[in-house]
Amino acid sequence: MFIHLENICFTYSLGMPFETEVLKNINLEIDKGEFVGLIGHTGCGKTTLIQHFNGLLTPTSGKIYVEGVDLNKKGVNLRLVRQKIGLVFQYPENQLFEETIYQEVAFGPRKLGLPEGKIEKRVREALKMVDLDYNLYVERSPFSLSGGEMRRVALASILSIRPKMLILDEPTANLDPQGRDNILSEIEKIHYNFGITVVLVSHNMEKVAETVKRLLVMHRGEIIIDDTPREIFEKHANDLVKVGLGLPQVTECMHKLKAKGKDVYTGVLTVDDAEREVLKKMKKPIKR
Amino acid sequence: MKDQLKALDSINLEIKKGDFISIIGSNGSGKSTLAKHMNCLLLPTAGDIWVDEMNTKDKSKTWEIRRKVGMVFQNPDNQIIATTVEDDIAFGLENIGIKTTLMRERVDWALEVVEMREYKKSEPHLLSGGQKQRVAIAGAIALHSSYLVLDEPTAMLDPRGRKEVMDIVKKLNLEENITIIYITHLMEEAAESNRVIALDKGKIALIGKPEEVFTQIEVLKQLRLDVPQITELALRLNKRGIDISPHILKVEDMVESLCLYI
Repeated sequence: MFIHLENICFTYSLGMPFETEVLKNINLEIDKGEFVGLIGHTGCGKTTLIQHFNGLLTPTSGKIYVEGVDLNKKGVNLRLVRQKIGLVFQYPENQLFEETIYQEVAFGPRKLGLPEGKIEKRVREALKMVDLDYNLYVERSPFSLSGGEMRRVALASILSIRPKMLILDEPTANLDPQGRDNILSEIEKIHYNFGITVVLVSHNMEKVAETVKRLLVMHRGEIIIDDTPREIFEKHANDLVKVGLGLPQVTECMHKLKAKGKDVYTGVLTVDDAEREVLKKMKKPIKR
Repeated sequence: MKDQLKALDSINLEIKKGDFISIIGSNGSGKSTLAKHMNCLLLPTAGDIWVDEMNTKDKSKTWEIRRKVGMVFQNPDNQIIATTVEDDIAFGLENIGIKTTLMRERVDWALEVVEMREYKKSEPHLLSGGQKQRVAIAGAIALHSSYLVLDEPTAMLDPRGRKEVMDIVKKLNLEENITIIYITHLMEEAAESNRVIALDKGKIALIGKPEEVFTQIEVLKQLRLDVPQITELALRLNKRGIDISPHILKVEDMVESLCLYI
């Protein structure tokens, strides 16, 4: 077990007039090598939850274990935990600050106290992981880049710490379709090629469902569904709609057909799935 | 300048009163630049833009044009300035010197239209993203603008917020007869408009009704844009010889067509 949350509750401004209970008794286990999506409506507690994973927030009650270590025990080295669990915030391009991309990506390893030779190796490795050519990019200013490129640099600056787990908060927000697909395929590659455990936070149902293997659905501070995307679309479509998360168009189409008494499989994620299912269930292909 | 860039290139476009057009295109295609030309935030290097017979280059008309063409941007937090919702909407009216009594009327009307009346005393920072965007829309229409340019108003919102904003935009168009120019990356949103314009490198690459534009899957993919899932499915089935219109944009229509075969 890589990360284990036990009865986590979290309340902002405890004892104050604006006291808000954000997480309610969360129990969750994520194994090494998993590829998990976390979706939910704005304000449902997604970001608060992931900030517990590496000790940025301390739960009001409950326990968090990372590789068996209780994060809230006295004397735990949270720096080590944060090296293991890299957190990429929403709009990470806003946190770029160095003069060159090299310095930006080298910042983390430098803070780890690595010698310059090793730092350079890490920078090369991290830029390669996000498909940015070392020679073309290192000397450039991070602020001269496009939105999608800036986001990749921000991602590289986390990867250079060599985390075992990567948490990304809305990594595709505000990108155009191409930029979104690029960053998602980078993340997939990082997961499959380097075996890094990934948690992807998003409200873009369509793309996340296609990408991840396990999907957690949050609503009002609770994890209400935890299953594979297919199972969720097949069995919990109504719950998703109820909590304000739309279904992909093709999934919605299958559910509507089913509601009309048609015998179709509703766990479709992509146009390919839907096409296959329609062809399979067609009484007789009627040619024009 | 050495780095000069032609962001818009020989655009010819006419937008009729009461129309609802959407503009799509990848980042850097010129969408926002085009939008900013519509109310004199930018002036063309060459060519002319006319708003109700007024040339945007005519400096004496700048304020009149800006009053007529309201604008709503992507980030709701960057456009709300006052400490209560109603003050925020009154801000624009104060600037053009509207009488207090009339101002009251306009603020209430605008809030009513965007369905935010019950929040008029609220502090903007306590609102959801969708609500903030509705306040920004109210601020624009309170000036009685005839045209509303929305530059990716839902890019930072979640699905519920998106729907709130889209519902209000459709209502403004249908009930208040406000002309809508809607910039978006989301094809489902563009599909709601009467006319879609796809920009590429500052040029109009595609223009037409949503069902005409979204069926050009190959072109859209070249322009690095999404195709609505349901349209792609319709096209694929159609190519396989199944008698399903390739112009389907709505899930309901697809369901209806498929019911004949399944």
